[in-house]
Formats: sequence, structure tokens, C-alpha cells
Amino acid sequence: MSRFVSRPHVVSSSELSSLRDLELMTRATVEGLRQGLHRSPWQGYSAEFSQYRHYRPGDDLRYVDWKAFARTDRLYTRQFRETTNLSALFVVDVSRSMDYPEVGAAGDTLGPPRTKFALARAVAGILGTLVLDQGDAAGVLAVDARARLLPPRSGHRHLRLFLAALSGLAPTGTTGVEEGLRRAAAVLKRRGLVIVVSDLYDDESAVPEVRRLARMGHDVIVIHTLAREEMTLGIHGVAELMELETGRTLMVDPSSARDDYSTAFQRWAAHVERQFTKDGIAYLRLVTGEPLEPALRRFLLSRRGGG
Amino acid sequence: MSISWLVPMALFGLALIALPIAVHLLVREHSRRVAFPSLRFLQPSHLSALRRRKVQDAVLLACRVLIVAAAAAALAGPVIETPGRIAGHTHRLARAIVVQPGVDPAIPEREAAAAFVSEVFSRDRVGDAFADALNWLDSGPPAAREIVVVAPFVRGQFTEADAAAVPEATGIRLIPVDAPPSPRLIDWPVLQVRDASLQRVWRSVDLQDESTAVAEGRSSSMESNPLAIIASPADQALADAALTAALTAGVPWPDGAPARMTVAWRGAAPESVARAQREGQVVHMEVPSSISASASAVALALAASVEELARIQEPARVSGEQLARWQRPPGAPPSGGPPADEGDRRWFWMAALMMLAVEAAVRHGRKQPVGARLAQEARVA
Repeated sequence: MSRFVSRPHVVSSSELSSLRDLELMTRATVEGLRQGLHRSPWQGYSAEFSQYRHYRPGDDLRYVDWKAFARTDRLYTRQFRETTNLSALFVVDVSRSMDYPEVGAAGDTLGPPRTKFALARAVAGILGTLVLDQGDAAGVLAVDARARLLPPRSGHRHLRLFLAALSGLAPTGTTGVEEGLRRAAAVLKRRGLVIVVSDLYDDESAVPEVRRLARMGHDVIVIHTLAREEMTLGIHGVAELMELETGRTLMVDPSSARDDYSTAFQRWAAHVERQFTKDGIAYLRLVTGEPLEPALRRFLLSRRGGG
Repeated sequence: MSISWLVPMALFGLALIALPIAVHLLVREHSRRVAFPSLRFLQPSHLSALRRRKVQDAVLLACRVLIVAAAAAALAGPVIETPGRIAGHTHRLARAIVVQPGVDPAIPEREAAAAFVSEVFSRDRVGDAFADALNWLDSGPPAAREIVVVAPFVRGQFTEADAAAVPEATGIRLIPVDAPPSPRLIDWPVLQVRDASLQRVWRSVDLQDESTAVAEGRSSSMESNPLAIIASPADQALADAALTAALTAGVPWPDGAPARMTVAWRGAAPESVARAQREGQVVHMEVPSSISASASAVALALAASVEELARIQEPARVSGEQLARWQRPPGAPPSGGPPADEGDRRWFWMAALMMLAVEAAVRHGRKQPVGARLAQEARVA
């Protein structure tokens, strides 16, 4: 994974290629998702008319209601409730555990993402594009050895930066999303949308942070990215398993350990989901190799129905 | 303790041991390092399962190798020679019994019953049977060895050379029997007057049991009379009649008899007797009283010639002293040699079957579900 090891100051050709791939995939998926999503799934803030008051000298003439003046021969100034765009912050897990399973050089380009990190980046790109396309703001926050932040901005020009920021991420960290979630509260000045994309192996520390964000009034979506191989211990033959983040090793005979492993994993995944859903936090589990669009469509439709 | 093999060629089957080893090496699960997101769901019990599996693999390989080895060894006919077993060999006897055809079968049967292992050899020539017997003893089981010859032991039937051919450790026992002479025909020449001339007639004498049957054979004329009687002039007529009667009846004249024989009756002229003595053998005798007596007297005079017939009819036997010199008791069993009588195959087959059972048990244990095994371990705990 040498392309993740370092980030050159100038954008490399491989990064450009990766960005183009991400754009292509994102655009194709977003176009597909738009069909059937006639109403935005996001519940953001928009400028809304509040009341009239009598015109006072010094008021901005743009807000004078000239039609009312024509009807009543009096000057009224329109007042609006405080309005703002939706700010969506994608907190992406860039820990080493996301770089699984190992795939070839073309493993996470077009087609269903094959690594958890590719899956996370794809889903962040798709949802971010949806957010930006409807005029809201989207940003990226990833924390490994240092924090990488693209503050939420709106506009089509920002989409390119957003996708470039995603392309520039690499799963080289040793920590999960806890620190990212902690910083997200500071990044989002107002109530916003926090989309956490992670394998949640640091669930014991991440779950409280997610709950804290929810209690602060943020709309939190947890996207749990998993690899089929790690769900079923899809390894053949006796192997010395090396934990990606700690380097700890363990000799394992998968044929004898598989049943217990799968049971424990499913139990853990269900426990994690239950911890979020019981607090009303949206939870979506995505598995590598499975078609992304249908799963996102079902999820977005369910959110729209619920909203 | 040593081990010997009845079919050593079967030991090449041990090469088949390479088969399970090769299969084990080919299908074994190579340990390799694989990156994995998290080890938190792998329980330590799986480590013991892995260790157990490795041990099981080693046990399975050992079982399979031993199965092949035991089967190959069993096919090779192993014989484990322990000191006790070797000592036991000296207390048993392998006996080869050489019997002349026609000998009472009760004798070899009695000899065979007393031996640990025995074989009877009987051929027209005792010498041939004797060679067969020695070969059989050479390939026999580890035991004291003895060769027994049951025969009349006529002269030439068993010689010094035969005794020398027997290995020193092999005992020799010679049992003389009065077996009847084998049926056979001999040509026996007889002087006889035929067709008014003196002829030498070869009669075929069939020696069967104790009787003889004479069959006429070829004949040849004789130029001179090899038999004469010298008498005084007063007895000359009687002498001629006696000679004629004897020749008419036939006088045995076998090979080895004197070429000319003269019977000198009392009263014969001394000059004639002296001349006859110069030409051949002279037998002196009293004047017989009758012609028949004369003929008998003539025949008796040829007793020396008749001895040859007796020798043929009753062959000379080897003396008892000579037989005693040739005999000796069996020595210690020879070392080495294929102990064909006692194999230890069954032990090796049993070992192979036991290994097969162990291998099946280990394989069955491996198929037990992990959950069930863990539950079982938990119950035990």
C-alpha cells in the first residue's frame, strides 16, 4: 500500500487517477440514487420567512416588500428566521484495520469496493456529493497521527476538493475514530450532520463519543464498514494472523476456530448496532463486495420516510 | 536378538513409506502470516486446538508410516530370533529319510514321526535321493539335522564319498534292511550240446524274488571243447557218457571261469594229466559210480565258476563295522539360513491393524465439531 504511505505535496498521477475513479463512481452512484429520491433525505436549515415589521430608515431595501407597499401604501420590511445550510462532516476511520482485505493494485477502483477503506471512501464520496449537490456543506475529518480536516463548505467547486480530500486519505493510522469524533464537535459550530464511517473496532471509546454528538443535537449516522472475510474468518489453512494496528500475532487454525469466531463477531456486530439504534442513531452496515447502491438507496429512503 | 526375513524382496515395499510422508508434506497446512483487522474474537482455546491439531497430524503421519512399514515387514516374512528361540532349535530335529524303493514303508514312517520336520526321498538310484535329501536339509528350518538312509547297503550303494558329502553338523544314521533284489535280467553263458555240436548258449536269467526263470538267448559254436575228462582206459566210456550228459544238460560257464578245464579221474594216465595241467585247470576227483553222478561231479568241479552266479543273486553287503564308522549323531543347528517354518508375520499384521485403529480414532477425533469439543472441555472443567 505504498500509495497510502506518504502524501506528496503535489498531487501525483496515481492520486489523480484515484480521484477520477472516485468521481466517476460517485457520480454514477449519485445519479442512480437520485432516481426515486425526489425529496432530500437531509433535514437541514434554510432561509424561512418569519414576519413583517414597519420599515425603519436604514433597513436594506432588498427586504422591503414592494407588493405589500402597492396593496397597503405602507412600507414593510420582511424579516427572516436565522437560516443556514446543512453542514455535513464525514468522520472517516483511517486506521490500519480498515485496510482489509489485502487486494491488488486495482482492488479499489471501479466496481464494488473490495477493502473496507475503499468502501468507506466510496460511501463518503457518494453521500458527500449528494449533500453538496443540494447546496449544503460537506467536509472531511480524519485523524491518525495528525488530523486531516476539510472544513464543511458548499458549492460545486468544493465538491472537487471534497473528493480530493477523500482520495488523499490512507489507512495508515493506529487509532480509530474516537479522536475524530471528539474533534467533530469543535468543527461543527452549529448543529449539523455527522457521518461516521468506520469498522468500529474501537467501539468502546467511539460509541460514547457518537452518543455525545447526538446529545449535542447533531444528526449522527454511523456507517459500519465490514469485510466479508473478517466476518467469517475467511482464511484457508493454518496461519499466523497479524493484527493490523498492533502487529500482534496469533497462530490460528481457521477450520477449527471459524464457528466460534463467526458467532462472536456476529454477536459483537449486533451489540454495536443495538447501542446506536436504541438511542435513535442511524446505523448502516455495509459489507465489502456487496452492491453499494441498493444498500444506500434503502437507507436513504428509510431516512426520508422517517424524517 | 536378531531378525531375519523369509522374503527379503518384500522389504522393497518399505519404499512405500515415502507415500504418506509425501502426502503429508503436500497437503500440510503451511503456516503463513496473514494480516487481519482484529484478533479480539479469537479465543485462546483455538490455540490449544491448533496445537492439538499439530500433534494429531504428527500422530497420523506416524500411524500411516507404521502401517506401511508393518505391512511391508509382514509381507517380507520376519522371523525374530531370540536366544530362547535359538536354544529351542537344538531340541528339535529335521530329518531327511532316504529310502530305497521297495523298502517297508513302516520304517520311514516311524522315522518321520520322531522328527520335528521330515521328508522322505526315494529314487531309483539311492545316490540321487541322497543328493535331494542334502539339498532339502540345507533349506530346512533351524534345527538339528540328520539324514537317515534305509537300504540293504549292498556294496556300492553308499560309499565313502557319500558320507563325506554330508556336512559335519548333519548326523548320519544308516538302517540296513533285507530288501529283495530289484527285478532284473542277466545273461548267463552255459556250455551245452546242441544239434550235435557244442555251443555256448546265453541264457537270460530273471532274478525275481528268490526264484529264477531262464529264457533261452543267443548261442555260438565253440571250436574246441573247453571241458574234458581224463580217465583210465577202463573208465573211458563212463567218462565220455558223463561228459555228454553234463553238456547236454548244460554246464554254466560264466565269464571269469577258466578257459579250459579238465577233470582227472583217479587212474588217469599221469602224462595226460600233466599235459592238461599245462593247458588249463585240472580238477582231481574219484571215479563216480554212475553217469548222473559223473555229470554232477563235473558240475561241482566248476564250482568256482558258479560262485559268480551266487554273487549276482546275492550282492555283497557293506559290513556292519563299516556302516557304524559312517554313522554319527546330529550336531548343533547351523546358524543363519531361512527359518521358513516359523514366521512372525502375525505380530506385524496385528501391529498394522492396531495402527490402523489408532489412525481411524485420531481422524474421528479431528472431525468432532469445535463447539462440541469446547463444550465437552467446559463440562470436564
